[in-house]
Amino acid sequence: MELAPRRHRIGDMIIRRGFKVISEVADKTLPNKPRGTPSAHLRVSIGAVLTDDERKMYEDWSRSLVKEYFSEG
Amino acid sequence: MSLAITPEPKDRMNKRIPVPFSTQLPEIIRNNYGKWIDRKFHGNGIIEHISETGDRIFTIKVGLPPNSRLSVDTLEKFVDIADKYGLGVVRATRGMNLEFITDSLDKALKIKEEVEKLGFPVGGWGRSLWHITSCTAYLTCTTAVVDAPSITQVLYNYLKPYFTGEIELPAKLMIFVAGCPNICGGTLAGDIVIVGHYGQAPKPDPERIKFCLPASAEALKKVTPDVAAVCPVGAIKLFGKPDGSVGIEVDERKCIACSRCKNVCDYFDWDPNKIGVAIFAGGKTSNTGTGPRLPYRVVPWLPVNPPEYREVVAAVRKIIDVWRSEAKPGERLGDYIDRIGIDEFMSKLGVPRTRHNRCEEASWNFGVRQFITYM
Repeated sequence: MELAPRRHRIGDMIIRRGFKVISEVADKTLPNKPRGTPSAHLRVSIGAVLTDDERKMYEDWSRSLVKEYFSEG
Repeated sequence: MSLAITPEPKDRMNKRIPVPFSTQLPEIIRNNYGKWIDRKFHGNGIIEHISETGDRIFTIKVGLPPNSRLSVDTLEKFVDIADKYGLGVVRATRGMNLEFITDSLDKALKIKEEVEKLGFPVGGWGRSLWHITSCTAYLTCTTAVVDAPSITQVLYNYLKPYFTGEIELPAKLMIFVAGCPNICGGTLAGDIVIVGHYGQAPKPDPERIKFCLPASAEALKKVTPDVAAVCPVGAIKLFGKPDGSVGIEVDERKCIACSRCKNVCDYFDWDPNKIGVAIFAGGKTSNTGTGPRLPYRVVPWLPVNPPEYREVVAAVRKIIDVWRSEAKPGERLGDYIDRIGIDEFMSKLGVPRTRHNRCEEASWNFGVRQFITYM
């Protein structure tokens, strides 16, 4: 059985090798097997590289909220 | 009642792991194991568990400081309370709360009174804020970007009435604060998740980055160093220089500021003014409503200004206020967003939409949902 590469967590391994890894690793007699292609959900990437304009936009928005909730700018 | 729940000290030294867990339980809990049939709330923060044998126990949930940081002195006071009014045990929860267990409502109310005297709130069940969970950040961590526990503390300062039940929420609310995108202190699948991130591509330290690279261009042909291998978008490029050494370039257009490279190499520089937090909303791990799901990144970046973190507090309060004012009873934040649509929710927040918080509705479910379509 191929081991997961260094620094790969279980989820990384499933995404890399597909759902077949579940029957290989977990139980070869598994009656029902998941199908489809596992995805990494890149939509919820946590970090973001922002431009100065974008940063300013969110800074302005937060400033307006601070004004709303703390009654000062 | 006998409370011989732990072995004598001499036996404790000889015990082997795993020990039978039943030996660790108070007698009343051991005798009623698997027989609990009902429960009743006594205000926010006290639950009565009723057994089919007629026995009852009461659990009191106490909010702890961020990251459960307690002095030995405070712990000793808790131990005294647990010995005096409880069953001599406490339970530390995943949500960084402490639960006392006792056998009568009078004692439960007494425990509530005693911990409140010490300044700790009691609450966190039902339609309320269950917890704000945080990582350790700078206390012990080498990858922290922002100080999660101090953000947690200021959030608690403003959100305490939601924990104690003075102000009711539509449904349970779980907040997680993570100091960096590794999110050790909780999960991304929370109702509101605050994550510190760099907000910029890493800049290799010209002098010291060599300690993370192969010694020569020849060595680079044989191995891909971790610093490049861990990049999920291939933004870090290594190349051999004419003088035989190894060079590194970071493609800012590809970088997503996940800081995985930082996990394996400390020799990157960051502009502190670009560091911030992202706020995610609408996730959950439970199977209620629409089931477990990942949240939307509603705010990709906010400035972090200690010690009050007003921008972060105001954004979280805004999210809660929008949800409180319109959600149906029992409707979690994620279910509410689903009902009105993410676009409507974002416009109610008034948050600017950019490429970083487009929040497409497609495929937001957990991967686990794919298992429903068995062959």
